Amino acid sequence: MTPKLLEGKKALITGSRRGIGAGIAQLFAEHGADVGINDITRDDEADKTIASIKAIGRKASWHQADVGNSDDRTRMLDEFVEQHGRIDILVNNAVASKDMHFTKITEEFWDHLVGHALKGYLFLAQGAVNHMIEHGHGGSVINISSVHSYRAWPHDGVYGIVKAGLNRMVQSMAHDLAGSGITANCVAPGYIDSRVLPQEEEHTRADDEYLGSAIGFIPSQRGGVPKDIAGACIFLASELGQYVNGQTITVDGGFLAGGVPQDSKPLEPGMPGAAE
Amino acid sequence: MGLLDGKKALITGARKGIGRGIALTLANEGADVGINDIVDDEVSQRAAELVSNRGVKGTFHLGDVSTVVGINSVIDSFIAEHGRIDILINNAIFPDQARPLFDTDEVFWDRMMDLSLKGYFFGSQRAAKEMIAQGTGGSIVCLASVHAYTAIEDWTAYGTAKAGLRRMVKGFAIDLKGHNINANCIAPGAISNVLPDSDADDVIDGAPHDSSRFTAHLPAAKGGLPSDIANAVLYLTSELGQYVNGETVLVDGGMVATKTMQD
Repeated sequence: MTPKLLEGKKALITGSRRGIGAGIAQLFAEHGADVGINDITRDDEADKTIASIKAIGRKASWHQADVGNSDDRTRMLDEFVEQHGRIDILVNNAVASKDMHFTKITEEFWDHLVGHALKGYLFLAQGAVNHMIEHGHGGSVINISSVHSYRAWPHDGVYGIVKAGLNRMVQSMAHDLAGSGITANCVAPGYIDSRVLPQEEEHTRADDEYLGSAIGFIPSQRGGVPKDIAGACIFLASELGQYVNGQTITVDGGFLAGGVPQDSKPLEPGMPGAAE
Repeated sequence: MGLLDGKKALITGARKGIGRGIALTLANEGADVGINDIVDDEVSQRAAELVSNRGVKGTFHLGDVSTVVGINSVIDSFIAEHGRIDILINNAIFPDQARPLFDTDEVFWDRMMDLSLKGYFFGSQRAAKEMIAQGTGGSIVCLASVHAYTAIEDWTAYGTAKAGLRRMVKGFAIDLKGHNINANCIAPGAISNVLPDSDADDVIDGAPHDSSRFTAHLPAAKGGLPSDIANAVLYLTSELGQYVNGETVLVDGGMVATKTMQD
């Protein structure tokens, strides 16, 4: 019987004040974990997420920090370990990106995204792993990657490169942490409806109206929800997934299984490569 | 409360090894389980009995799942006993899968492809047809292998079949669109198929695989056990993994990620 898969585990989830991160924190708490909630700002959504964890009966600590900032990362980990005694699970999830055509990518944007979602993930993982090694009981690091790590969509260059880097990062972590009892893996979400919705509108999550034409390309015939990503994280962080290491698990309802790019937008006139 | 309460699961080649581990693990989580094998002996019967001992229905279905006639008769027999099918685990394989390239004759090739590609295909096709008729959805899992990713001496026929399975589940994902069926592979690494010394009802695994060749560099630093694979099956067939579709999950202790297969 497996009523609770993460009983007593201590998990830090970055970018978890809402969306996928909050969904992971909530399912972790339902499975018996104490969680650390992180984001760059604390607002009503953060308060609600924290309250929802406490309502489940688990501990929720708050860590305001920018994962792109070295001092913030160190402080957050120290605070988390001080409050929970140790860290068993790190989920690197925080990201804020935007579309940018290849010819328009700025150095500033590159440095921002790589600094947060690649460098920030690596050094936070390194810090967490050092705590795990010191504690001697193994642990799990999970990077939230993306289907953009495998294929290109319009104007997603930097995001895709960063996400592909995460897939490769966990392979090195698996190698260099051999024998430590620590596993490192990625979860690559597809089309996830992670909107923040009032309770009375929750039933509209991932509905056809939100998904639009995308539904036609998803074999599972529904949009993903944060809980789908949380389920994969539970698999990887619990006893169920302890022999999975250095892997990226795609959770996309079969979106990538088909190879025809039916959902690509037409090339924009005036851009290099446009049919004009 | 289990993760698969009331589900009806058929596992091919489940007399021992990984299949047996899957059968017992799914039973632990509340599923009724049908065990298929081509051999009916004390070991087969004991596996079914161990399922029943877990408080769920355990049945045994003798049959050769390398032919369409064979797989259909096994699924007929399963449905006759259980009423429907929610989960099909394609796992059956014969022993001694390695064969040097120039010793690989047509007989060996056909035997490999019939059991591990054709059998898995037509078994999945039939199970999907049933799941659609039931209107209940379901889950299909095929056991692939690390050999589907990378080559190692003497494993070409096996690896070719296993690589085919990775593509096959993508096709199932696409073609079964909208029927609430997810189809995936699990790719095991070096997994023990040794039966446990203890016959106790709560024991699933035997001794670890003697994989000292690999473990010096393998991130997991140990060989895998049937329950490692069974737990991934549990993930993909339970609510936790319902949005995973057309995917192959490696359960190899980091073997492929770090290329520790050959050194």
